[in-house]
Amino acid sequence: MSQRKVLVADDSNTVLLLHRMTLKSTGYELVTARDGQEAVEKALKERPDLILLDVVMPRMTGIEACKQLRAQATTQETPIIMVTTRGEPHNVEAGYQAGCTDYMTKPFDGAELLEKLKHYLGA
Amino acid sequence: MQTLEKRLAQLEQQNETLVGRTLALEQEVADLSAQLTVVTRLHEAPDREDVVRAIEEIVNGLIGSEELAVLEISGDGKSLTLLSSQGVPEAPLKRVTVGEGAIGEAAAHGTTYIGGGTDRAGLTACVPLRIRGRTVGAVAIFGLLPQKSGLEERDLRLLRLLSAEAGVALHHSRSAPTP
Repeated sequence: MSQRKVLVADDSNTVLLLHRMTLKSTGYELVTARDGQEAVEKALKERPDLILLDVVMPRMTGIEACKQLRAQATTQETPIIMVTTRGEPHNVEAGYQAGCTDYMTKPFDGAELLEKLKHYLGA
Repeated sequence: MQTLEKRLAQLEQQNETLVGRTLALEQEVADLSAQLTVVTRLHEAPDREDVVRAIEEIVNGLIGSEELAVLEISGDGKSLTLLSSQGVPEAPLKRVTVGEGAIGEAAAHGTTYIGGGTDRAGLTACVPLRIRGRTVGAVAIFGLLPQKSGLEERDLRLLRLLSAEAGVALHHSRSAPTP
């Protein structure tokens, strides 16, 4: 089976590093983006198996990026998990309205992330 | 038949134990990844500005707070001056006397203050930033994110790490040449 690819978009170097550390030993290939616009561009180019989107990012928010990705045939069905500090119900609802598949709130829990990856991509 | 049923029950029990151990190990690996992230991020910060940003990102993304202040000890060691803040009024934190209040005491004694957000200042924790037994700064953490009810054991481990590693990074960034 080919290596599964995960795209992570976050403007925090610490969060990107944490994803790198967490996914290091799992066999998933990691692609990163620093904002929503870059996330959309990289998703269309790299065709990841799963996308993790931060909500608050420069240039384009995760919500807008999610909407754009859902409008593209190549990423219409790709699992998108929103990862954000905004855990209030209306923010979660906005994520689902934009088309996300799942939602995770910060602080970041690597074990929870691995559970989600296993769920959507298989062990 | 009874033997088979007994064996099946044993196997189910073993499976349950193994699942529990796997989950515990995954959590341990996740916690270690977070700790390694704190160390690596701070060590790789090229300058003072990025050290402060790294501290903020660690508190935002790993501890779960967007209300914080990063302070640095003054040359004479008598006060702490504000380097950056997020989500809290700056004025009361511009200059904090060492030994006064929860932040000043944490800096004076070199011990982390855990307040649970219930004290007058709404402080959840104050972490002194230390190098070789000397306080060089402090990180004051006020309110936690709404979905976070309090600090857990793994948060306290990260705060201990932050105390040592951010102390070293902040100290070295003082003498580092500006790129």
